[in-house]
Amino acid sequence: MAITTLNNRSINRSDTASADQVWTATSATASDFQAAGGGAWNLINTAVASSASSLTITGLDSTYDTYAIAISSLTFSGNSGVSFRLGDSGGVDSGSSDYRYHVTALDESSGSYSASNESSGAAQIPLMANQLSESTAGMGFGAMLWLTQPGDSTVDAMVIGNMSWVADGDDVAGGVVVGRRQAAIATDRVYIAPTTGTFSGRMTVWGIAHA
Amino acid sequence: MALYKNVNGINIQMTAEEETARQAEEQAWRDGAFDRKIADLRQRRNSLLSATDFYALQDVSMTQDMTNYRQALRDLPDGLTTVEEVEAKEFPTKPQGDN
Repeated sequence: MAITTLNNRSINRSDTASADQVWTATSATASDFQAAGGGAWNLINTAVASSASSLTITGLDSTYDTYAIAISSLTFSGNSGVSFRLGDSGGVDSGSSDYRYHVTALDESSGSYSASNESSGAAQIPLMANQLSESTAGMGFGAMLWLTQPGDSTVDAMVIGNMSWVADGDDVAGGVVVGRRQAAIATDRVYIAPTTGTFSGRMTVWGIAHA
Repeated sequence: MALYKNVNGINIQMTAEEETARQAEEQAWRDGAFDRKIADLRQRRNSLLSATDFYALQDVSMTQDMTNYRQALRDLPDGLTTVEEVEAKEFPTKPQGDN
């Protein structure tokens, strides 16, 4: 039986298609450009820092009320923690009472956990409670964070997520963070920084659609 | 040495004001090193103490070894004044046979 190959590059419905639509089946025998399926992750931006003092991604807004933030392969110039901040069009917020948080550190060397918390105000949200990530080869830090209602003028932006790193003594460690920006700002950027020195690595931000 | 911030993948040299703020943050972090270390030690110590608290109940007998172990845990942070001392501090070993 002969096989017929369709060259998809010839398909062009530019008269009716809109940005971000996808080409999909609309019936058993037809196809067309349609809106992407519900719940899609929409890339806001991804960036790689190299020996930088901070890494910022902009482009967040009220289009989505949930954002996913992946931090991967962070390595440090010296043993360091990581700070997380939010900002708006005026810049990254680092006021002494801008954030509240609770962050834990689970270390392979102990059956108990360490925690750091701030209930009145802090200038950043730390991602490693009282611990540091090692700076030697093969060791570093990664995280998956969720940012909710960052552009909402009703509910303050909050972050929750999980981190993993290699701590002092070459221990694998991890933790959970919850944090809050103590004001309903129109968040348009997320920021991470080493607590000392410089770091290298990637941060990616997606907006998650409801439908 | 110039400091750089990365915004959306682009390295931007910090202004003098930004560098000053960054250096102040780093210094504050370094200044808090001992407080973070001792807090971490105390939290781990408290967790180990909590795990043996039931020995202090009136209807449970505590062995001398367990008494010594719990006292060693309570004494653990005593006299520590530097990060290096905290890092070198060894936790006492829980007595065998006590759950």
